[in-house]
Amino acid sequence: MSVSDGLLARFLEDRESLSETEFDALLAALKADAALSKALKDLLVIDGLCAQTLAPDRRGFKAQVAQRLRDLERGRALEAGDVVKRFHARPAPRRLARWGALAAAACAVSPRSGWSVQPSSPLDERAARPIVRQQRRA
Amino acid sequence: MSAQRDERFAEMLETTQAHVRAYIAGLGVPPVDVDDLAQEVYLEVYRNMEAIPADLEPIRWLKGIARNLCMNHFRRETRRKLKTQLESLIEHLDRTPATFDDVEAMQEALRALDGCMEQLSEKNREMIRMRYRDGRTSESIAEAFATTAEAVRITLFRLRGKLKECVTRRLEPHG
Repeated sequence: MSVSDGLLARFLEDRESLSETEFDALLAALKADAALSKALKDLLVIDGLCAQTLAPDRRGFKAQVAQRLRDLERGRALEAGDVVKRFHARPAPRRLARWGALAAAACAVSPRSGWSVQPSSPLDERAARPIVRQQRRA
Repeated sequence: MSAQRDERFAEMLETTQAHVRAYIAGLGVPPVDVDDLAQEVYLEVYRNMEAIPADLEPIRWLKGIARNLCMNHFRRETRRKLKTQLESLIEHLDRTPATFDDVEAMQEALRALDGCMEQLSEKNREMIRMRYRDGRTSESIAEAFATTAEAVRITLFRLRGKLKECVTRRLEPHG
């Protein structure tokens, strides 16, 4: 089975310009003729290289990949941010709150002791809040 | 990600991108989809750098990913015309050897292409520029040259053939 240059030329310009019957005929011809397959593949590669060389929107490929990677990393950072937000929204464990209350009581007993809690994490900060309030009142 | 890993990825992108994009084009993927799919290939590789076997040339790994992504792309696109035929074509062309089939040959082909375009007549060069630089259809080019779209398509088909022969000659030893 042979296909015309006209059909191959149309295929190269726009795959979807071929009808189903024409595409099937092209496939059958390619499967029957290894030389035709190689010739078409070479033309497709040349077509791709011409586009890489001449099309302005295809010259910045590496920069486009770099941008997609930055977006990917930003996506990861946002996901990590969500985890932090969820952590912030979580109520303080009861045991810590109880220890906080005990510490506050200790400060109330000895207001000039100079002891203060330095918050080191959101959780510590929350646990320390009643203590600091107590110290200010004192 | 470690700096060493980033460096390895950047080097891989630099040396293989022209080949991967031409490989995808050589599978018969419509030109409009080629770079999007090639970008997906590199994102996939970036996510799974550790998965590349140490004893395998990265280009072979990249081509394997490219082939799978192309197939998945057409399977997903349910509204696309000739979906099944395009899938069969990709499978067939993937098994077909190409003249420029390794990284070095592809890079040399890309370099040789400029010189080969210079050898075309001014009219033919302009036709190639209109097609690839300006993205014009054969109908639109035909208007500019006062000819038919069919004549433009056939001329472009032959010009690609000429460019392929010229590039092949230049890649041969003493070519």
